[in-house]
Order: sequence, then structure tokens, then C-alpha cells
Amino acid sequence: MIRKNRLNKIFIIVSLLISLTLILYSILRALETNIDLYLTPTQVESGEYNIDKSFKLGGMVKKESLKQSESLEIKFTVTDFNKEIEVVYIGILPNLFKENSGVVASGYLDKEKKVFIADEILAKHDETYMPIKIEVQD
Amino acid sequence: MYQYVAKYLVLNKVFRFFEKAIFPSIIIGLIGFLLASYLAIYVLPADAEQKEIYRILFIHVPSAILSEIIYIFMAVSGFIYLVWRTKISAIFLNSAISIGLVFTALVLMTGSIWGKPTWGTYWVWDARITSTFILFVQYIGLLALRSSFSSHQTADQIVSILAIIGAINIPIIKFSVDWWNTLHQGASITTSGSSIDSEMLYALPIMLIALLFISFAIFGRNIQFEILNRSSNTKMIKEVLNG
Repeated sequence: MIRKNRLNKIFIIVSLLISLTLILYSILRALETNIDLYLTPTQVESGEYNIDKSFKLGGMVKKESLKQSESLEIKFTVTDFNKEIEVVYIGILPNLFKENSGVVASGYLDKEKKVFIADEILAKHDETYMPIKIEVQD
Repeated sequence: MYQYVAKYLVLNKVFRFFEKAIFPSIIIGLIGFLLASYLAIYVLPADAEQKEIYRILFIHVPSAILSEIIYIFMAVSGFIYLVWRTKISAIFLNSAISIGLVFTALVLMTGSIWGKPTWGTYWVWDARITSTFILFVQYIGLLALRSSFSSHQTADQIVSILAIIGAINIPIIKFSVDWWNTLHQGASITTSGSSIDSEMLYALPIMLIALLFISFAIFGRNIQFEILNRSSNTKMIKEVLNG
């Protein structure tokens, strides 16, 4: 049997936790558009987010869209299998960057040409891990 | 008078229990650690995408799991201390902080080393990484707060309250990859199975259990230190010191 003053303590702690969780949830919701997350092409085109300044664009590198010229300039299309945005980037790519794989690019959107000018490219890998020999057999 | 003596008898038993338990658990932990490291480095095949660098997973993931488990343990101990005023749970809470801090630092460091060759950056303010960094700061905060009071009782109460409040961050770390768009990938091991190939997976539980044993041993030493520290100038101390 729990004594009454202990029940009171449990009640105070639990209500403190619940109210703090609610406060934190409201803060995070209110600041949602300001958190430095990446936007998918669908979110970019929805117009709900501020894309006038620089932001991050994330999605998959579309199959057979990667074009590399001799002058380190790289063009590819980022897709979320709904909308897609073309990306231009000059620089060195991370090792895991390839077609049909995840990518997060920071930069800004050139609205006239409808291309995303990236100044940093990060590769996003998925959560699957497969032994190397299985791919060799394919 | 009886209560006064009984209080120390309980701690005395705990002290003696860890005196026996520390050595075997550090031995089991070290053997498991060496075995898991050997498997992870020499035996398991390389990953098809990430090649050799993925092997850092076997220290990164267990540290991440431990940094969260230890925090949950601390929050539960703090809760029990605040409600039932059991001295031992305050000692548990205090003894676990430094171990959790080490594992959180390990997670951030190994993640950073892993991030450069795979993602292309050492650090990014991504939801998973930021929330883990906040956990790291929480551990430092608890450690600093604990030592800023002269009375053990005040320190225990304040540290318990802070530990419980900070526990809100644990589900945020866990679900950050589902709630937000993050560079960090989602969970590989879920209730519906593992997306790590079974051929590559088995070193992970061995490493986790080994690190649990090592942590338990260090935890035990911390508890012994804490008990001695809190009951200095009592009969018990003299008894222990004189064998």
C-alpha cells in the first residue's frame, strides 16, 4: 500500500513531466519551420516553407540523371518519387554519393532557372547493411 | 538506534556484494569485448555500400544504446529516491552519471569519425545528432550540479529532479529519425526484424553485453566509492579498511 504523501509525490512528478513535455512539444511545433532540417522536393514546391534564403534539399538522386562534366561541375536531379528538382554543384562529392541513393544538398533555389545551386553535398545512406560478396554475385 | 545501524547494514551488504562481483564482471566484459572486436574487425564481411568503414557500427551502436539505457536507469533511480527516499537509489543515480557521459562522448566521437567518409561531414546539426549532443550536455550538467552542493541530501534531490526532467530527451533521441527529416538514417533493428544482414549482425549483441559487464564493474566501483564517501568516519569504514 502506497502512503498518501508518496502518492502526492508521484502525482507531482508525473504532472511536472507531462506539462514539460507539452511545453517542449509546443515549442518544437512553433519553431518547426525554423529548424534546420532538409526539405523534400514536394515540401519545396508546396510553398509552405521559406525558400527565399538558403536551405537544405533532400531526397534520392534520380536514376540516370547524374551528369559530370570535365570542369568538376555536377548536375543531377533530386526526387522524392513525387516532385523533382534539378541540382547544380561544383566540388568534390562524398564517397557514398551515387544514383538511386540518398542525398542532402545545402544551397539556394534559383527561381528563374528552376535549379538548386548547391554549395555542399552530403550523402545519406539507408539503414540496410549487406555483405559485400552478395553484390558481387549479382 | 536500530534504524541507524540497519541503514548502514544495507549499504554494507551492497558494498560487499560489489567487492565480489566487480572482478568476474570485468573479466567477462573484457573477454567479450576482445571477442566482439576480433569478430567485427577480422571475421565479418565488409559492407557492400560502405566497405570497411561500417565496422565502427559495432562500437557506435552499443554505446548509443548504453548511453540511453543508463540515462533511463538514472531517471528511474531518481524517481524512486524522490518518492521512497531510499538512500541506495540516490547512490545508484550518482554512480551512473560518469559512465553514461563516457558512452555519450563515445557515440558522438565514433559517429563523427564515421560521418566524414560516408556522409561527407564530421558534424551536422541534424535532429538525431543534436538531441544526442543535448544528452551529452545533460550528463555534464548532472555531474557539475552534483558537486555544487555541500550536503548530500540537497544534491541528491536536485540531481534526481533534473535527471527525471531530462528523461524527456530519451524518446526524442529514439524517434528523432522518424519525426524529422534527418541525415542520420532510421533504425536498422526494429521489432519487425533487422535490416543488417544476419551474417554481419552477431558481433553486435556480444559487444553490447560485454560493454554492459564492463559498465557494471565500473558502476560497482563508483558505488563503493560513493558509499565510503557518504559514510566516512563511521564504524563501517573502519571495519572495511581493517579487513
